[in-house]
Amino acid sequence: MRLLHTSDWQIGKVFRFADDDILPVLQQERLEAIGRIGRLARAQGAECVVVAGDIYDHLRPSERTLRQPVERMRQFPDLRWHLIPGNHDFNERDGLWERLARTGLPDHIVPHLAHAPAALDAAGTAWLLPAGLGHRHVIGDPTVWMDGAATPEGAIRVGLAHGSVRSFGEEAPGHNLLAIDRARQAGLSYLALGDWHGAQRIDARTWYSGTPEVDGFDLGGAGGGQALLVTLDGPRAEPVVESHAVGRFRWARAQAVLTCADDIAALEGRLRAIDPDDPSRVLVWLAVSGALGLSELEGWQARIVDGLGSALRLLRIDGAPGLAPSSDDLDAFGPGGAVRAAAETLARQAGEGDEAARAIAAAALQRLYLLARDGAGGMA
Amino acid sequence: MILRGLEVERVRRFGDAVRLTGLGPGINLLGAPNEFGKSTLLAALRAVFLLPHGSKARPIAELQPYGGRGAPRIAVDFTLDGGDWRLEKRFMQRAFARLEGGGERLDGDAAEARLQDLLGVEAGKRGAEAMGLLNALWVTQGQSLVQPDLSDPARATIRSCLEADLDAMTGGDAAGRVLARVTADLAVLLDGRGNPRGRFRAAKEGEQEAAAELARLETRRQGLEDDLNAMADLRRRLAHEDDVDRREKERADLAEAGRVRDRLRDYDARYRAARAVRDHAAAQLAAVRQDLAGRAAWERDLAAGTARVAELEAALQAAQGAHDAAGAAHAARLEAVRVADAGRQMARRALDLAAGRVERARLVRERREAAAALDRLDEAARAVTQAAAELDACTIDDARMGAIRKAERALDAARAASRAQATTLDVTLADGARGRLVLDGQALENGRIVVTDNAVLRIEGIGTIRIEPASHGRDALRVELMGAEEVLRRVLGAAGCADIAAAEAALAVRRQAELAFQAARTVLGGLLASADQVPATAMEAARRRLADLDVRIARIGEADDGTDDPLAVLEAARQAMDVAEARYDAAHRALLSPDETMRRAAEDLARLRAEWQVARDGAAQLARDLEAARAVEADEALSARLAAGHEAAERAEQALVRIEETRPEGTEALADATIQRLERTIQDGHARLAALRQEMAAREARIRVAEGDGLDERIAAQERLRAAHAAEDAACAREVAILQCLRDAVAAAERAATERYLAPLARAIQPALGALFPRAVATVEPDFSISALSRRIDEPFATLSDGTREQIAVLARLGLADLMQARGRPAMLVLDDALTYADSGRLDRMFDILTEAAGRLQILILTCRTELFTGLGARRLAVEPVGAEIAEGH
Repeated sequence: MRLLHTSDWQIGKVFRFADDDILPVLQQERLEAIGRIGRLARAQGAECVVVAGDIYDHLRPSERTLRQPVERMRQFPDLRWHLIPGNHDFNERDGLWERLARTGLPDHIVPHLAHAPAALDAAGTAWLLPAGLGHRHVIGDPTVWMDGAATPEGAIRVGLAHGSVRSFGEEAPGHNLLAIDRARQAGLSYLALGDWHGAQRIDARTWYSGTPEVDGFDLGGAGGGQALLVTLDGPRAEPVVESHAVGRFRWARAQAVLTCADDIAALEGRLRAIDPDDPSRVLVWLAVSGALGLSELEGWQARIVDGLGSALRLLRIDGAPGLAPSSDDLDAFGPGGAVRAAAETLARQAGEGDEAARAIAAAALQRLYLLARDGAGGMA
Repeated sequence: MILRGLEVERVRRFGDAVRLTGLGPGINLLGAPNEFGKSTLLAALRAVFLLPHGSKARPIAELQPYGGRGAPRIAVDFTLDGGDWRLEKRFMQRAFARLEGGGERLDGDAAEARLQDLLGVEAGKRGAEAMGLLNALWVTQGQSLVQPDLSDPARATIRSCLEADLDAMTGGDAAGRVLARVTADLAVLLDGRGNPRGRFRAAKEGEQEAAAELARLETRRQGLEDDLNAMADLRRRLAHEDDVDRREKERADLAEAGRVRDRLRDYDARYRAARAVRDHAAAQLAAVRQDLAGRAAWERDLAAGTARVAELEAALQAAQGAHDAAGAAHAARLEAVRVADAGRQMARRALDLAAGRVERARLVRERREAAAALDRLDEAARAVTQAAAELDACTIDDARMGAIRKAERALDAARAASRAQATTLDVTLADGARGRLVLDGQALENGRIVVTDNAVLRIEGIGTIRIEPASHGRDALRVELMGAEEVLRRVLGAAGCADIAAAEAALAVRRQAELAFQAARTVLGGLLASADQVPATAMEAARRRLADLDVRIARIGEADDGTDDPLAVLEAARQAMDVAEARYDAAHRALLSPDETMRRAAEDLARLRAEWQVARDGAAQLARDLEAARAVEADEALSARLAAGHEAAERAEQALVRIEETRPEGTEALADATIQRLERTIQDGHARLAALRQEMAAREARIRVAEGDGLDERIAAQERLRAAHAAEDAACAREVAILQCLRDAVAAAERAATERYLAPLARAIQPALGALFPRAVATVEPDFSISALSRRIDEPFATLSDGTREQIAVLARLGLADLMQARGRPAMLVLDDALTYADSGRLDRMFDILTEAAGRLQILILTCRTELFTGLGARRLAVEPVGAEIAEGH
């Protein structure tokens, strides 16, 4: 049989760094990914889609947010959508999943709230062992029960769980921690996992699908933006897993140390190369350091901040190139006069005192440079 | 620039065209009284040069003729940069402008543009005055006290003048533009007081609002969490309430509790009955024991009573003896008192007798004295009577003596008068002639003889000489003399005296008699009790006292013949009396003191007697009671009853112990409480179930509402909003910091540069300033104002006197105009009613300064005090009417 493995849709996610223009686009794209997944499943002949938790980003989404993914899945009645609660949308009593049930889900959308085997196909050749979460943090491994879960002899056992197979430090010691060899212990043909937003193969039968639409700059594994097409030829056969891109936006982190105009040009080239065809699909979080002269700073502002900032979907910049004014720079303010004197004062201030004051002085000098060059911005 | 002519028409009071004539280089003076129109001419000058002809601004409206509307027309002729120009403008209706000169003629806006170019001014906004330095130099009345208020173009002009002096460009313009831009950018983010505005303020407020909304949402989410927790709890309770097994158990518990209570009640009844039997037996036994004890007590009491009676009888006898002894002692003391009393009375009689004797002796002595007093009184009375009789025998008294003396003096006077009229004869007898000379029969001796009456002198041997005094009224004198002699005789006769000497002697006798009478009266008066007492009364009183004493002596009786001294006898009697009294007191006290013993003896006797009777009666009663009791129940019968009571009590106690051993667990009250609790639990079960279901429904509804709102999602969105506002706020704050940093740097640099290029301005002003205020230095500010004058100390401009401030204001303008003139810019100074505060010394120096400046610069002075400016050697200007054909020359 064939199934499509996805997880961590995080519908309703709010991106704090995004402004009012970008946020709705990012949120909308996460919904669009559902359609792309459905179409991919259809195209590849998958019978069902298993969603390994975190369909929603919030435990209490608005009514519209609650219904939006359901409506997208409703468009694919030929597919069965198997859902489990993750840590973001865990199965709270009187909570999200009961609301969802009250909306009247169509038969092909199946939430699995109990830890009980469920047939994946009408013939009963494949069985799903869902291990959704009943709390945000579950003490102990929610997949333990799979070891003893009874399924018909010879059936394909597919685990569906949400959690981490590795502990990431002390912040969540052992929460939702899954045994890394659960597939082997429980005799699973395939264990479809959610929680990690980057696609990751743990072993031949254990995979994280990652989020279908990238939602962060730091993703492990193969990054996000994929769904996994899993082909199971029998209970003993090793699954064939293919990764298919379903995401639209590309998220990237970049670092640059700028000391001259060439550095700026190189950086621009690097960032534009992320997606030369459509830079508007790219979100970049750039960390900058270094120091530039006044004219180079102008170039930085024009080519990177203003130019790339407009070309890319999002350009988030940490830090800024420092100011290292040269004598040539100061000559741009003329041989003498008040403006030149002010520029010299600012250049001095930019090189002494605490860092915040230095940065302000550097920015002021840069501004003066622009104003003086442009004749005070058309006021003259 | 030299102004050569000014014409105005339909300008305020100047309805018809007039021309200011006499204008030329150097100093020009228009002296005219108030209301002449000097300020109007200055306003016209400003208007034609600085206001566009199309302007309808207030300065133009104010130029219109009084009392009606009209189109002011102004024309000037001036020389600039060696060329002659004529400028003419008409405002309001049919407005136009025309500039002619240098071979060109321009009209309308072209003329205006060329004019501004010539003057180096900048067009004003919306019809206002063009801005440049001329505004500051053409001072209107009342502004002479303040320094030139320079517009931006004016400042720029000065700056460019000054910068031309420097080797390098100061960049003042560029800095000014940067500063203006930065200030404008800052004004977008900060208001006048430095508080955020616009998007800065919106960011701050947005962040606050978002935080507040977030707090509200968090509160709601907390409420939802609470509801969810409560819901879980309600479910647990509902499951508990709804449990069938639990309810069955409750009913079984209730039945069991009922059975327990029944058992407890049965036991309680049996226990009560057994305890009553036991209590009865115990009471019986106690009654027997009480009877036995009573009988033994009676026997003890009887024995004790009998002993007591005997004891009391012995005591009674002793008490009787004591009582009798006390009675005998009392009788003896009574007798002693009686004897002492008799002695005392005897002593009293002796004492009275002795006292009588003493009294009688005193009275006898007193009578003797009274009799002597009576004799003295009698004798004195008689002496008075005798003296009075002697006095009465005297015939003369002071009155009669007075009359005699008066008569004698009258006689003397008569004789003297007679002698005064008489003839005097001085007789000197010759030896042997004595007796030979006889007058009226009387021989004359040597001496003077007065002849008052006719006389006959016979000289023996010679004959007689008849002398007849020739006095006037001699007869009358003689009568008077004879009368006086008669009176004397009569009064002497009345006094019984022969002559005056006798009268005098008689008067002396009378005086002696009066003295004797007075002495006798004095003696009598001394004996009388008072001054007004009559001697007879006194004597009567003395006699009565004598009689009284006689009576009292008689009353005391005859004195015994005792020769003893009565006083000694009296003293002895008194001592005897004291002894007798002392004896009586002692006996009396002795009688009183032993009475206590007697009384106690009597009391003891009575008490003992009563006690004895009580004891005796009590013993008799006890004996009777005991006898009666034994008659009813003999001692043996009583003992048998005791044994039977013991046995019955023992049996009842054992029965009670046996019942107690069957006592069930718990108490009836506990069993009742259990039954009530179980009954209530069962009864309330249904109600609780219903209430729980109701509350769950309510909570569920609330939860659904909250979830429908998408609280988590909204909180996330709100957090993003808050972060966005915070970022915007930080960006604005950073922008403000950058702009302020830039502004401060540029302003500081500009200030420094200004200070550098202010030096030439200071230099331009300094010569004139030094001439007016020797050794003074002015402080010039970056806005080209003079802020202070430094002579010995710094004096801020505002604190200087009106005169000094005015002079400095004029100098400042002069300096600016000089500066402009030197840089080839058009400059010309107008002073309207200035220098009126200057004293004559200062005024002279100002004239020198103006005169010196006038070599380079045209100066126009308008004043209403022409006499002040006579020393100025200025051109005199006049205002003359212009022919209409000249005025309307175009």
